[in-house]
Amino acid sequence: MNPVKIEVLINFMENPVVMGHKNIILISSMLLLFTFTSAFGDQGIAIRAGHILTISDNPIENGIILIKGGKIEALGQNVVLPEDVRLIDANDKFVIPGLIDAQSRLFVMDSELDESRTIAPELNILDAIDPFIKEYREVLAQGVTAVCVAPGSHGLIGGRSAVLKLNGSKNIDRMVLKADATVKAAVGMSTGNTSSSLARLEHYSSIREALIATKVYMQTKEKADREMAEYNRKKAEYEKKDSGKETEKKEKPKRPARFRSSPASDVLAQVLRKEIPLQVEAHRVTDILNVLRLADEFGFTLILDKCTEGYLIADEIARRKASVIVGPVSTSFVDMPRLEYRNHDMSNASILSKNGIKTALGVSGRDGASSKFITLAAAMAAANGMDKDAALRAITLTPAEMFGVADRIGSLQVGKDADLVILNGHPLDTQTRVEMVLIEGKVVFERKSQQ
Amino acid sequence: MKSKFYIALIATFLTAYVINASARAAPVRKKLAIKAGSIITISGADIKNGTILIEDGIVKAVGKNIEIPWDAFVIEAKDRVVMPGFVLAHTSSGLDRANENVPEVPFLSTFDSIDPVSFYFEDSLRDGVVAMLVLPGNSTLLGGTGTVVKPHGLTVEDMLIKPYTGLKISLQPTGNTSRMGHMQRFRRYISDLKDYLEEYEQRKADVKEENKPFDEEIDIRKQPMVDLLNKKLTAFIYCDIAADVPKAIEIHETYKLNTVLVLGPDCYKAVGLIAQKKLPVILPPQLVVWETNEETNEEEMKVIPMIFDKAGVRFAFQTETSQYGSRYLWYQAATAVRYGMKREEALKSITLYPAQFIGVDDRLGSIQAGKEATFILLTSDPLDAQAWVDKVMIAGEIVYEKEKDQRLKKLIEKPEEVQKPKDTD
Amino acid sequence: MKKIVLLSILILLSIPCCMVKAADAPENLAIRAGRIWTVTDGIITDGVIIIKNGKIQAVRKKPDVPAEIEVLDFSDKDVMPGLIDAHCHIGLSLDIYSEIDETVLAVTPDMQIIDAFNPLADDVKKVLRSGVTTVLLAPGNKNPIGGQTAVVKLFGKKTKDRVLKRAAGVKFSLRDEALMPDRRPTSRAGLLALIREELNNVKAYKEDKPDLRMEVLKSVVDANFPVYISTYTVDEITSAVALVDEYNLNAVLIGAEQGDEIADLIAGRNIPVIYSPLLLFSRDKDLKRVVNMADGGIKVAFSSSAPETSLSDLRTSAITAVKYGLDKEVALKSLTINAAQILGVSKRVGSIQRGKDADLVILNGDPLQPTSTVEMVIINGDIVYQRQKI
Repeated sequence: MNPVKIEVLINFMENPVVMGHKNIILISSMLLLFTFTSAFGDQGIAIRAGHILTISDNPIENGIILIKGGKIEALGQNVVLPEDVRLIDANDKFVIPGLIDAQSRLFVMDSELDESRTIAPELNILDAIDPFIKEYREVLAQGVTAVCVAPGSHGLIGGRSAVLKLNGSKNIDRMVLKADATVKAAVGMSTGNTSSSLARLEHYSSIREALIATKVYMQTKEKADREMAEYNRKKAEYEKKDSGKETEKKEKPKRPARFRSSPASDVLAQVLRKEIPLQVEAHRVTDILNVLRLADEFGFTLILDKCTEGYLIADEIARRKASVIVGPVSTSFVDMPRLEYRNHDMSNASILSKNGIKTALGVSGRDGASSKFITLAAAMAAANGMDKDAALRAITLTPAEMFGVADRIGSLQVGKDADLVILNGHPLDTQTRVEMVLIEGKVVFERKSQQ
Repeated sequence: MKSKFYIALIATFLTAYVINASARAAPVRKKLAIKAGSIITISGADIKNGTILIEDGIVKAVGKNIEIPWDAFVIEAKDRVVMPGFVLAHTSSGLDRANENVPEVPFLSTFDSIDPVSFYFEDSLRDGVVAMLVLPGNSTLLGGTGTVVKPHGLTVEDMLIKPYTGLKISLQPTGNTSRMGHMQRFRRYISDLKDYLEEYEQRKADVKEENKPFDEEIDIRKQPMVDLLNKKLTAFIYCDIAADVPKAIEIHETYKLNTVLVLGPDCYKAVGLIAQKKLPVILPPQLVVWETNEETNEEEMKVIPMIFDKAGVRFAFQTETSQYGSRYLWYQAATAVRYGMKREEALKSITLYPAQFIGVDDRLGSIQAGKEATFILLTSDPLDAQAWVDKVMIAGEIVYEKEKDQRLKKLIEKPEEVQKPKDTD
Repeated sequence: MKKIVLLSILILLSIPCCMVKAADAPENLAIRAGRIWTVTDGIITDGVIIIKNGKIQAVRKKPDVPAEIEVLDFSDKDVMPGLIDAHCHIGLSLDIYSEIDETVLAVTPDMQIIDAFNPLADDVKKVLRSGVTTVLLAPGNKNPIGGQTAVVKLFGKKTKDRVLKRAAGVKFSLRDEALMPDRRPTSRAGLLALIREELNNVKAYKEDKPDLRMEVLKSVVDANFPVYISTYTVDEITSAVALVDEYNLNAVLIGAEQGDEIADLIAGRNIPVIYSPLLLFSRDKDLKRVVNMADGGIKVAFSSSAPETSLSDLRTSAITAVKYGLDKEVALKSLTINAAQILGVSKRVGSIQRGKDADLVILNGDPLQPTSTVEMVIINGDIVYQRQKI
């Protein structure tokens, strides 16, 4: 608003007549504004598209997606369009749900990925987010609308992960789709170019000890809660009796010792109660087996992260019903190969998914902007045996399900957020270009026509 | 004979007394009047050829054509510009050591480490600063409480304007801590504090129930944080990079504090968030930063005060001891004006606003009846690079005069004529 | 007499074994393919490639095949020339950090990387399925004047089949990595000065006092022995071009990541570029650079710099470049014939043409699609990899 306009407004406001009827004017102008914006902002959008890949169901050829209030209101070949809807013509194009990179570093400050080995489940990746970076736009331009970010790979238990949307908000609250999505852990990571078996055993036992301690904590807390409830009951009784007859001098109930809560233990308690999955990075067969044993012992929901040698023991993983995020699909995505990637195989995802294991794909690249390679990662997995549809699902619905956000994103279904991508070809095709990206019904990216 | 001796003796004593008296600094006079060529009041319009009446160190009246009492000491300043002394809302200079090694020391106070003899204070006075809030540095999570002092006095008590002002919180992680660990540490401290307070209240309630006297005090080391949570102390939160600003806002909102943000140069990127929450800020000393546009590869100039000014955020400036221009508050204001800020707003940002941020605007920051007579007399306009601080008055007392500034004299005096070497033959 | 008879019988008996062995060699093949990407002569649909004695005898549209020759039917598949990785460190050691750089001395042109190559190494065998058939082996970037590069095939029964060039050129490095704190050079200026010093010393070199190092450098200065100059930034590339001008070097730039900013300089002197693997980058601006360079008239070949990136992803560099605007034909050339020409082995490899080695890759789709899988790899007419169905 330029200064002249402000002055005019101020003069208007200071007019005695206006001042007298301040309230009415205020209310009516607010009402006007409200109806005005809602009339414009909530205008529905419809997309008419040649190929709609819903992921959750069969593809819809020549269908319509109707969007209202940021959600998919209707979807199909025979959708009736309301009058004042903005129609986007994507007649010969593909529409897919916004893509998800399940192993992203986008928005995470580099300094946060240190190499310390600690048990620190209370740490929260949201404290290490920089919403001001610009490279998310390049990632958005490749159709990625959400990323799963987690603390570094070296902390034994590194902290809590989160799912973020690439809606460009500088307000972290508005970026977060889900906080405390998983608790991230890692076992068997090498330091530099060496790895000690003894060190790896220590990792495993440290985590085990932490979980046992949590069980004890949960019991102690429960006991303390019970004692406190009991005390409160007795106190109320004592006070009641006291105010009434004063015959017997009952013993004043003793307050139980105060229970010191521990944020770290509270988080792990949520894991043990299966409220939050434990996402454990493990590469070698021995480490994966150890983690599966942990899951057996403590009963938490397990997500195996990276799972580099998983293809060698696919049956074991399938039996335990653990889900897996495979990544990087090729060692080219990471810096000079670590020992962990010694037996890396590009058909890992294919073998795991063919064994009935819920498999998601992540880029797990060198930096935040690498998340743009998610379709390349899926294509590479497909080139190495994974079914094309399964590969596409592995970068949409499957990670959404694993991170507990499938009620909002991951597929094109009525009721879900209108996070979708319009492309001029099949998403796994090299020369396909992203034409438009919508998040919650708002166009957040539109490709300018090239020469 | 004897009487002559005694007369001589008394005369000697009298002379000595008179000499001594004149050698002493000018005594604090009860009534003063300054006749100034130009008065920048800050709170109102500038006054040309006006007068300021002062009584007992307080401004009695300011304006044109004011009647001067017969017993007032008149200071002629027809060729001077008088304005309120500059106020610095945040500095860590003048301390023995700015930061602690231990991260959580909110109970420390800068009162105990201010060094009155530090060159910083002498220099600040010379540059027209009359009040500064001295706070701990940026390397400690909970650094301690601050002290508002004037850069004049032999002891900290002499310098004191207002003790126990502001509590410094720094979001810059120390040592090897990650930002996640740093934030978690802060939250842990507060939750432990709240536990402690609950237990304290319980004990109090229990004792009161038994009608016994309760004389346990809150741990003195925890008191400042308790006062922070009760809004008795203002939080000065240092944000090193833009990504720290959302965290600072989170702290401000979660714990419902009175907050002033102290910003690093990168933080201009978060101006939108700051404007939304209407938080006052203290700008970094570097006011102009260059950023490379990622797409075009071109260098773009960012003028920080303009970015905040346009967004409607109220701010104060800050100085740096080592940098050239940015060590002067007038230079900070002049830079902002040069890039388009309104002069009045810029001048407020080095006087009234910082006084408000640190809670001394009842006496400092503008020339008004009722406020302290604390001004600077300049040789020309404050935003003029050629201007000198000619005199500084604090509470009606002249505490600095350029004429008597020996150190400055040495710096600017013309070198003596070089003696031609005598011919040796 | 008895001895002679015995000996003759033994010889006679051994002949069938040899004959069986000879018949064993499947260097005679015919491959029918849906699409043959010859690279030099366009795409032949529903054609056939005839291989004899490990060489391509014919490639044509007519499907008729000589008798008694094994026919592989890939009528629904794509065949392209074996890929050429124009710069990598494969097969050199388990710990590549120690093997590829001679860091004690700064100048080691007498060192030949082929001496450190183990053709039976695990990492060599593993990548046979990638479709890469020929590679340039090179030392690392830590020596201003490093060792000699070599061009080898990833498979070959005999050394002459495997080693195409024992010494393909000398590796120079102008990168920061060549600066060391404990030996010369420690600064950029010092690096250039060192190189000039060494090249200038060649003038004073007298052949009567044989010095292997000098011999090599003499061939660089006088006999157009190729120089592979590793560079990254604009100033490093500019320095390299200056050296080329001063000493009339037959140079190839390796890496040259920022080369697009001075494309005219490079193209003007016809200096080819062996570009860094694209997956080392993640920003759009960086991913477009190689496209800009190719558009600017520079001959580009792709490399993996394995193990910096996986050799299996050589094709991925081309695919990514296409995604960011590289012409498909140019992309294909950059994986094959361009590299062959730059490395000086184009008489033997780089395209599907009569007379060249039968190095072929069969895929189940367009080679520039990331979803295409390598089904079979043939080197010198031998099937070295065949995909197993899971």
